[in-house]
Amino acid sequence: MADEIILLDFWPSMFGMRVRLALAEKGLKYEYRQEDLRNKSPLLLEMNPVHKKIPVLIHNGKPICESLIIVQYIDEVWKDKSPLLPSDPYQRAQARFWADYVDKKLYELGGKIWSTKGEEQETGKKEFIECLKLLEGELGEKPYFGGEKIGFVDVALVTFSCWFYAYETFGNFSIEAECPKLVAWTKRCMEKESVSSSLEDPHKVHGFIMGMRKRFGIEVRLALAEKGLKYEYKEEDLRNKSPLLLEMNPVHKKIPVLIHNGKPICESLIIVQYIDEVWHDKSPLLPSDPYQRAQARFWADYVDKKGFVQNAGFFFTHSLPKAPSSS
Amino acid sequence: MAAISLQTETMAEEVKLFGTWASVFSRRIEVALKLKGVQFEYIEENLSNKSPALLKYNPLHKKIPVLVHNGKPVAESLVILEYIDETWKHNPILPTDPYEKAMARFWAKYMDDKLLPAAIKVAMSKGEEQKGVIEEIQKQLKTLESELKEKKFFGGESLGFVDIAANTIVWLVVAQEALGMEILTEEKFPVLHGWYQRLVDDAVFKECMPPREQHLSFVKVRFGSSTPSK
Repeated sequence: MADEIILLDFWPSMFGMRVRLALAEKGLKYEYRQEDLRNKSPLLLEMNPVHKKIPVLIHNGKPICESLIIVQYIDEVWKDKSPLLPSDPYQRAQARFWADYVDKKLYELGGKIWSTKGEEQETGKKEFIECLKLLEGELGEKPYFGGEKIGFVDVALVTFSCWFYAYETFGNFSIEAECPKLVAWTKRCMEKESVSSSLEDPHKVHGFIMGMRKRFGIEVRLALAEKGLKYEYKEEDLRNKSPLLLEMNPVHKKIPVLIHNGKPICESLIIVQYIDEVWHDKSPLLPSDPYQRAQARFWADYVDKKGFVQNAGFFFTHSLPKAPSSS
Repeated sequence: MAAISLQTETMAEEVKLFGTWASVFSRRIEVALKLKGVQFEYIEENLSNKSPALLKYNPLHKKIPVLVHNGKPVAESLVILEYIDETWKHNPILPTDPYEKAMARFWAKYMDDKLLPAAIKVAMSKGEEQKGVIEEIQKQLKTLESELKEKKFFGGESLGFVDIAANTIVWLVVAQEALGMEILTEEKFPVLHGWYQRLVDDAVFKECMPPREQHLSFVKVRFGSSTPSK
């Protein structure tokens, strides 16, 4: 009897990508369903009532949740092809340990890099690199964490690599400079079709995060913080917009609005570029090369058009950067 | 001296533009390149049979316009306009003052986010629905008029970023004539109408407009219908 496999997922999720990768490794056919996380499908809510999160694998009508649990399930059911976990119990325990380490540390630290600035971001960067260095040590001289072939830890970690470009851009650092062996490993993995077809384009991911920062008004606050500017923050009640907001943005009546010496600027990416141009001596926010700038604008525009920013909710497992206290 | 350096600059570069003759978006790029005196190769695309080159240069959207500068592609018309302005810095189309630049970006975005979707809707709708969309567009045109005020162009004394993005209005005027609608009239919008005349009379802009008769037939064929709504 043919298996019915459905994967509920959301394209930028590195957790969903792990499942895609495991299914590809096993050569399995499945139905991919994109979830709108602001409008979760009845199926998702039925199949994962506890967490209401993606990814969820539905195998012959039965749901399995939590990406690493799903990957192990796939490995055990389709055990004859491309085993991901070692057969020896001690090695299996080691593999599970490291996959769990990736889970516990990397996502949160990565989040600090793109959603915070200043000291909090620096700490996030430092700890993120320390994690990667530790993982590099674990890899050692092996071609893959799984030895000669891709294994469980490779699957758990490699999906983060398509987020590296975004982390590097927002954190202004080079992962390759800090962890060359690990980056070499990511390239080696990408040579495999199962990996390259399961991971997303790093530029697309970067655009998605830019969109999320924009959606939550973070982009402007971060730009101001980056330039070391003092500002007064006014929280708007969007169901009861202030006269000032209506006066300063009569066309759209939306936030964010930056008011600089009495003059209003609207639309967050336009505000960020304005900030970058007025305070151009410090910490450039956009790349200086026109072609890179065009690429950054292109991806921000793409995210805008596709409405992916609406689905940002689930990525916020940690608190947003706090607004400066108003006097 | 300036003329010589311009020539050497263009000789060393390879600039290609993929577009279509009736596209409001690719025509914007032609205007910008011509304003800067940049030599380019124009490739007319057949959108029902896209060239392998187009698919290679814009794999994500598979749309025109795409500017290819020394082999590197840039897509999305407003993104391309900014790239052109930053790469060929003479005859700037964006203001240098950051505030003015922010304003220019805001209004260009307004053209694409608000005016264009409404213009497409008005061409596709009929009867009561069309009346409603016409009203909506007229509100937008009023907003644009109060932004334009006494200026010759949105960009001031000469064509700028917003004027180029506002070529949508030229397409709207063609649509209103082709489909028998009354949206932008001189009586209702004297200020905007004045601007419109200056735009279509501008030497560079004029050169980049689709041939009028062809454009009118194109719109009639695409959006018109033989039977009026009951």
